[in-house]
Amino acid sequence: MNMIEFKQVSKIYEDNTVALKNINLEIKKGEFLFLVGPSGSGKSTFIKLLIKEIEETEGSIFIAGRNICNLKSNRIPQLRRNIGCVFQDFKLLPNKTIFENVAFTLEVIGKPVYEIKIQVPQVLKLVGIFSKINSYPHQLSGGEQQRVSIARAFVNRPPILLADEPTGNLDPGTSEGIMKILSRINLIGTTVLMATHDRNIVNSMRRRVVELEEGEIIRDQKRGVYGD
Amino acid sequence: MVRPRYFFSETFISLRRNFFMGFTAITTVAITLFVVGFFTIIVYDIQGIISSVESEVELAVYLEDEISEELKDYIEKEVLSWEETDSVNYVSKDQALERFREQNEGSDILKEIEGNPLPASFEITLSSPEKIDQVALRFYDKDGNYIEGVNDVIYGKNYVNKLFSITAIVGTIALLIIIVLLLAAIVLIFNTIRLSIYARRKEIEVMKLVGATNWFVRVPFLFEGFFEGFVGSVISIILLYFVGNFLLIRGERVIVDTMRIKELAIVGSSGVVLYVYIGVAVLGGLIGILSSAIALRRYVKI
Ligand SMILES: Nc1ncnc2c1ncn2[C@@H]1O[C@H](COP(=O)(O)OP(=O)(O)OP(=O)(O)O)[C@@H](O)[C@H]1O
Ligand SMILES: [Mg+2]
Repeated sequence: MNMIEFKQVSKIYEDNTVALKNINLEIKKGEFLFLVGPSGSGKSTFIKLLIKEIEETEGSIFIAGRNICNLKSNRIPQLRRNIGCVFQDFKLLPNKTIFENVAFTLEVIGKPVYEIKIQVPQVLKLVGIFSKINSYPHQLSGGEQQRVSIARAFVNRPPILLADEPTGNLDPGTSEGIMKILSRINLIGTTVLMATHDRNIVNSMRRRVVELEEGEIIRDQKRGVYGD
Repeated sequence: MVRPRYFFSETFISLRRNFFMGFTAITTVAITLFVVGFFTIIVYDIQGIISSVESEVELAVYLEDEISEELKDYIEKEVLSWEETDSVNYVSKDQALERFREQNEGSDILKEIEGNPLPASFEITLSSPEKIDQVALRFYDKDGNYIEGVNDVIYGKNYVNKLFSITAIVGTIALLIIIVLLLAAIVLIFNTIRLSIYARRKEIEVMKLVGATNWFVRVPFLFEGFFEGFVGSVISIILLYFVGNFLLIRGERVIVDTMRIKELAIVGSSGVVLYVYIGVAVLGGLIGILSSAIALRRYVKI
């Protein structure tokens, strides 16, 4: 079953930048996929389309078999609750502590307080940032904020996890730790899509690799490598 | 899915963390509504003073010393029959002297008085004070002399006329100023709250990106707006109370003394102060919550 499907999708921004051109892609449930390509090739655009942060210009996008293009605006929150997203720029709430940032995803779906109090520390331990639970985002390093962002995306166990360069600010050791977490998340059946520049990670994981260049798919390889 | 606990704690946490923004909004509400309220109270008081002056407008008709009892009675009956007349009070020569003595007690003037030089008079108050000119004219014959038995007719002609036109103009101008002040207050408060929400638009965007519904994002902001508006108005009511009690009343006492007005509508007597308090409180909460709602429409779009 296809978890995500792009059918002839194009995205042209308001200033006429063509970010994606006629993209056709199927991602199966439980798959782990790397989206690679040089800066400006359209990776973030791809991810933003999936959570409807931006609207496609042409084509249709299906998630779990449902076309999300003509989704009513009051259905969008429901869609987003089923897709965890690690943003390239983290997007943490500056006035909330790390605990509250992660808890927010759970507050939104109406989880009871006692569950939130158990689950949030758990997931913060998983990404190794538990000691900062009462700090504010601006008191954290870039890599630490990135891990909070991962924790928030994953805390409500969504069926899909999107990660836009989740190792972008991390040293090789920490990156490896993050990849272990993502692999584990993937192992329990979560579909994971990760945009990255990190050659070593892609080469060591040997998962499906889709390469973008100037908004077009130029390679789609099972058990692939970063490329030349 | 209603979650009052979350929304309340969220509102107060947010107020604490965004202290400066909240403080600015509360101060703006407090100051602007204070100005509006203060001005409204003053205007109503001034109108109160003017109308108590108006009600004191009276006509004094001095009689000849030699006037016959019949003529005197005739004039009194005649005056009483006019529909403009409210009351007629006859002051005899003796009573006039008595009054004069009381008013000038201890003064040297009393020693110089021989006999009784003061005339008897009718003191006429009118039910419609603006007709005072017409009424006064009835004590003249067609040649412009006083009618028989009347020696003099006295009323503050210019003073009274001016007062009437001033009352009308002041009323209109004051109403306009109050409306303008109110509009200015609303715009100012709206802008302050709008700016504080604008400053947090990224936050709103992120909340929505992780799956919050519009209402989930909105409710704490609406509570916050209401809270700021309400607290601001309570502060302005406290200010109005103290300023009203200490400044205004003292100021009005001075007016009372200088203008020699017997019954004066002092602050609060017209009941307007209470209405101003209620108005300010309702207005504060309402402007706060509405400003938030309007500002949010702009920034909480999908
Ligand atoms: N809001 C926008 N308005 C106009 N053009 C945009 C906008 N966002 C992105 N673009 C353009 O679209 C193209 C693709 O951008 P995108 O962010 O998807 O690249 P990317 O592959 O994620 O790059 P990076 O690796 O640097 O994150 C770029 O040319 C970029 O300049
Ligand atoms: Mg990007």
